[in-house]
Amino acid sequence: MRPLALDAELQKAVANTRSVFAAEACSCARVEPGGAQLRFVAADGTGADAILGVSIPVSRGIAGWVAMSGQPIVVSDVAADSRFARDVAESTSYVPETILAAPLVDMDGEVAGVIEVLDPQARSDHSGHDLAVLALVATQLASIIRLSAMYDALGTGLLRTLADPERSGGFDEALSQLAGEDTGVALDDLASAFREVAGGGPAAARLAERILREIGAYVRGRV
Amino acid sequence: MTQPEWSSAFAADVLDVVRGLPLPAPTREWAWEGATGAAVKVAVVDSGIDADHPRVGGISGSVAFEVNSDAPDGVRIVEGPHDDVVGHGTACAAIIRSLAPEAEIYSVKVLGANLKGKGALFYAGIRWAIDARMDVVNMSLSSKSSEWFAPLHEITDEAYFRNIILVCAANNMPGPTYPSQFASVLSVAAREGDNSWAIAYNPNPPVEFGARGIDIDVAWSGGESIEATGNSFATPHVAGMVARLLSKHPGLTPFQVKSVLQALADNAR
Repeated sequence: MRPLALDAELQKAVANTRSVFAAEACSCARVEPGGAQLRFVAADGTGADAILGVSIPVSRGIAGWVAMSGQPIVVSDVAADSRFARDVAESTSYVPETILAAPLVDMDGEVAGVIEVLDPQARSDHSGHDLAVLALVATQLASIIRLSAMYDALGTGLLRTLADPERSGGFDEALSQLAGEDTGVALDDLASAFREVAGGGPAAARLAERILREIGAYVRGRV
Repeated sequence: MTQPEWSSAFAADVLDVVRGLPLPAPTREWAWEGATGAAVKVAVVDSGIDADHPRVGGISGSVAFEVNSDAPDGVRIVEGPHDDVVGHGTACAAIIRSLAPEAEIYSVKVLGANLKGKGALFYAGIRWAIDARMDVVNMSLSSKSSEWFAPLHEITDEAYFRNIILVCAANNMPGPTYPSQFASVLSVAAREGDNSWAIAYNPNPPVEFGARGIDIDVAWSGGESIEATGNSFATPHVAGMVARLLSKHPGLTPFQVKSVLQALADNAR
């Protein structure tokens, strides 16, 4: 079963990561579809409420550099950089001293997002080790995002088949259409609507699963 | 699970001894004693360079690349000065300057405003470095996109055959990365220690060299300095050593440079 809701999974992951590092905060930003922005979709700790939902350009800042370069990095004393402090202050009131950041790289090698740990207290005596741990967490998060996207595509395919049975000609064709690069805004909306339903709690998740099963049965009956 | 190419490969208890070619002794003196990096052109392919940063001490030229759908190959070149809105390129330039004070450093800005097309920007940066006859190219970035495997492989081979030394940060994430894993480049991972001239050779590549890159004081944007860790900071240490080496021994080929660095490695016997 797909994660009930991607953002909820990411939220759990950043909370756990923050705990492991005894950090002031931990956040995860995803690359927006256009590729020009990073949007914070999960955050835990100080400043979390302020940063959630905020978008920053990939051309700026440490998160942007990590997304662009694909390299994990640790930087300390960043608050000394007045421009950095100003950039951060624009989005959250908390300006960290130290940032650990690693890219979320998907199966195709594209960067799907960035995870950041702010002011970790539980550091090993080897910053390289800290970075290794965070890089592995980032790899797992990238897998979660990929699986979620797969389930969204599956759900969208089923819904599409249901919504437009005459045109689709079957589930396979719907899926092959979805394999194209541009699935279209309407399909994105359908997928996100389905995700919303699935993320609404255990009862809603059961409903979502039932919808999928019913659609599957309907499609099998038609073809 | 794939093991990430980490600095742990260079830990004293796991790093095997390698057999370096016999350089004239004392080897380090032979390699770069008295040299300054003068007349060696070093391109820093990164976020730009703050040329006014006191630790950078000026640069010899700068060029930026931007994604532009109207341009041939989808990339537009912008000549002239630019700034570094991140700080990373400035950090790399200052490290190179500290090892090769008279090297001619060029800023090649390839980190643009959009993640789409970043492979094309990396490629364009290397293309420019080849055409501009750079001697050393510092690349603290890489691509994991399979789409860029072949183009980056081809262009790094071209650089190799033209005697241009590409020094690339190893990627710490699992899975292949380009061009850092190609044999035509010098791939570098961060290694513990506070000696900027220390280098180690990993007998189990693709990551070949380890250099200082953990908890080090580096230049940053806004004229500031910060403390940082990453393979991306180890890379300019090696680029700086190569610049110094080439200023004393002009015309060394990439395979000769690798042999010298291996012979100078802490774990070479």
